Amino acid sequence: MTEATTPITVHIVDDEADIRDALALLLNAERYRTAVYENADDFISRYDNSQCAHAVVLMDVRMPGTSGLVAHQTMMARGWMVPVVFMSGHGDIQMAVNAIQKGAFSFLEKPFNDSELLEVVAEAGEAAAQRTAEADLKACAERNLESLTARERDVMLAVCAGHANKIIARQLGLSPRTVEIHRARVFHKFDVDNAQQLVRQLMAAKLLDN
Amino acid sequence: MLPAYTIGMTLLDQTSHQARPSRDWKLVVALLLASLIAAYSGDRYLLLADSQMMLWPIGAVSVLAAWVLPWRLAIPIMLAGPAFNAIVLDQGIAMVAGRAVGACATGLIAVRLLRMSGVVKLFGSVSDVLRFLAIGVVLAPAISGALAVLVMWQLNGMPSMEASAFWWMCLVAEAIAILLIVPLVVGLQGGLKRPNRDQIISFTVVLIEAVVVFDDLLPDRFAMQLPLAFIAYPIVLWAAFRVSLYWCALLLAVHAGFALWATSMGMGPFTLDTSVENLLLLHGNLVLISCTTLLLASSLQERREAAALLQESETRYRLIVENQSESVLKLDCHGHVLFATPNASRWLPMASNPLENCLSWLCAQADEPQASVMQQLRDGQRVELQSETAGVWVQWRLSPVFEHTDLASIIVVVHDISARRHAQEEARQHLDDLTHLGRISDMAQMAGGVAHELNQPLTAVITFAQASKRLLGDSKDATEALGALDRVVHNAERAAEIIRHMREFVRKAPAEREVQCLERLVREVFSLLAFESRKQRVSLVLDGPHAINDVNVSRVQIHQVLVNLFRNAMQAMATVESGDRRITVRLRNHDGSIWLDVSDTGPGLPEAERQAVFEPFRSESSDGLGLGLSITRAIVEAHDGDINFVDSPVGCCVRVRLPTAAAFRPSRALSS
Repeated sequence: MTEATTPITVHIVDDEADIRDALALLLNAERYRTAVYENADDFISRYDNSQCAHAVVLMDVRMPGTSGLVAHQTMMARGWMVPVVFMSGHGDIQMAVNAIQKGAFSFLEKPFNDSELLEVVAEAGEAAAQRTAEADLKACAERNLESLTARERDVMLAVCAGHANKIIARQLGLSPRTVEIHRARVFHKFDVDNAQQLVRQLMAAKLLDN
Repeated sequence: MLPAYTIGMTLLDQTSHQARPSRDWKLVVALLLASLIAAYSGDRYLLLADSQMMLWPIGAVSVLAAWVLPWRLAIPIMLAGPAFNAIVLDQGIAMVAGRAVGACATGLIAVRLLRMSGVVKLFGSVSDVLRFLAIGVVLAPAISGALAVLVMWQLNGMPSMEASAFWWMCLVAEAIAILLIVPLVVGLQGGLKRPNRDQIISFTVVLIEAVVVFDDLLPDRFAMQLPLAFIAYPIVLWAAFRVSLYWCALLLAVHAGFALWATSMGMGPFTLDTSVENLLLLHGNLVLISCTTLLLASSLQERREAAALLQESETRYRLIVENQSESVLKLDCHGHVLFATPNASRWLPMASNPLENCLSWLCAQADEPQASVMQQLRDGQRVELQSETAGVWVQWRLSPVFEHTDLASIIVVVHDISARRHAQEEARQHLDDLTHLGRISDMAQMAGGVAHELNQPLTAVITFAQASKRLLGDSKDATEALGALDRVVHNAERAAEIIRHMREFVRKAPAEREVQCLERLVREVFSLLAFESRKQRVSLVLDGPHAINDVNVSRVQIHQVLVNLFRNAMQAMATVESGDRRITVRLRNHDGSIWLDVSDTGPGLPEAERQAVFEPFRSESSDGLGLGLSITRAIVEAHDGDINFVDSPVGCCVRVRLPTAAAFRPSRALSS
């Protein structure tokens, strides 16, 4: 679903200016856009999450002031879905495991192998797009769901359960005709043509369990 | 026999209780009987021709009575004899009164004087015997004789010639009474012992001699000859060499008794002329022999006792000197061995060769110039030398001994100080180990720091090079540049690899943990730093040792923590007046943990600088890398504890929190 034309912005957070610049140079050479921040606080204050579909964060773990891990927690708390790749000069396996368990995308040890770095960034970019798409779907489905009346909602759930109009009418104590009208309205509001499409949309947004 | 037995038993009893006069009625009766018997026997053997009686038995009884009875009881007994004589023999009042006075005076004066002069103490020495002779043989008889004569003269109007003869007789009689009786009484007070072979032999020989000499057993031509009288001298003196003083007195008494009996019966060598003269001669003879023998015996006894004392003290000192771990040597003023305890040969290879100079050898061993050692000794100073042979450390303490102002000899006390040396060595070794460990930790920390610091620029280099490669792309002109960039990346990666290896290498293996008493660890470090703290005049105080303070730690690492903290505190107090330098360690339990507070009396540390001191490379001191506290923190954290500054009214207080052994759960070991 990602538009290949939209470039991915890599947000580089590292206290070492040379590393920031080197990374920026490397990533620019690979047609990535880059934004550099010299510490975590700077990043938190300047980062714009609206472009999260096309953003990846490369963050050093050890920095003066707020550390990378703390900044990551702040981001999670704010609901920023952007994938975060940690960098560290020390092979702290424990730290890496912790970070990934807490939702970081990946972990890179300094010094980097360029192909490995680019691979991770590319994967993170895809993940960003995917996460954003999923988030969009979910947001859309939720919006649609909220626009339903209570009666329409009941009808929708019954439709999703795969029942025929007559049975729905009997369950809800309505006439088959009324059920049909509600069903048409639900399809209209969700912008779908049939029950199959409706179910797929809800499942994609993770609003409906099997 | 009964009186003698009773008197003997009473005297023995007295010895076991005390030497105070007794009031035992049996004794009184016995003495009374003895007095009467003495009067009767004196009368019985009265030499009618001279109308004189033997006075000394009465004198002897009165001395005895005065010795063992209080004077109120003694006086009637003393008077009983003369009274008996007066009644039975119907003698003149003057004679009886004179005798009574003489008897009383003899007993009372002699005993009083003897007691005063302290002869009571068993004739312990020659001076005792001399005093006894002076008082008992000369002074008391002279006085009492004079009193008796005075009384008789007053009552009877005795002519002066007769009076002086009577005085002499009294004197001799009383002297012999005292001489024979008092040593026996005093000897009995010392307790009666089973006679040994020597005593029995001597006694028998003397008895045979007395019988042979005085009982006229020899053939006519040999018996009753005056020279026989002198046989007694060598024999009694011979016996005196063999027996104790008491047995001497007994011998003399028996000998004298036999001689007097025989002579009064008209037998023996002293039967010459009138009985008075005979007896006087015999008495004189006996007095002389008794005096000589007693003096000889007492001087022998004194010598024996002195020798025994000497022997005992010698044995004691020998025991002390020979059985102590130290050896003692005495050297002459040139350094040759005069005396050495047997164990000294352990240290001295030349002990067997007295010609070798011990001092020279010693100075060579201790590597000290002999001249200066000698000079110090001559100046009256003690010299301590130390030498080491095959791991055994020996201390030689030399003390000079002066005679007038010249160095006469040198006493050397040799002491094995290996154990002390080894303990010192061990303590120093441990401190060295700690310092070494500290350095290794410093290195590790430094390697960690350096690795991090180098890794950053290397990362930048590699990334720049890789970016450059990509920027150059595949253009043909750039082939060489691309090759060069490859090499840049390759070399930088190698450098990074080397650094990583270095860090792995210095990362120490986890230290062994065991349950330790934190208080003991603190005390151990106190003793490790004892020298340093003394030098810097810092007192080390441990407070609150009653806390439960078992911790599961690596002993050597906690030692290092404590050494670092104490040294830091000492450094902090360098600017403080030396009297107020104090480090207090306080142990307290808190919620499954132990708080170990180390506070000093230094100027303290501003709030702002507190965290920084735990970072590496922050030291302001010139020695060390300033990693002390960062390592300390690393160790404490590896033990699942933490370290912080706490507020303190004076100086600076660092609190180390460690879980107690009970609360400790195994955790990752100390890394970097």
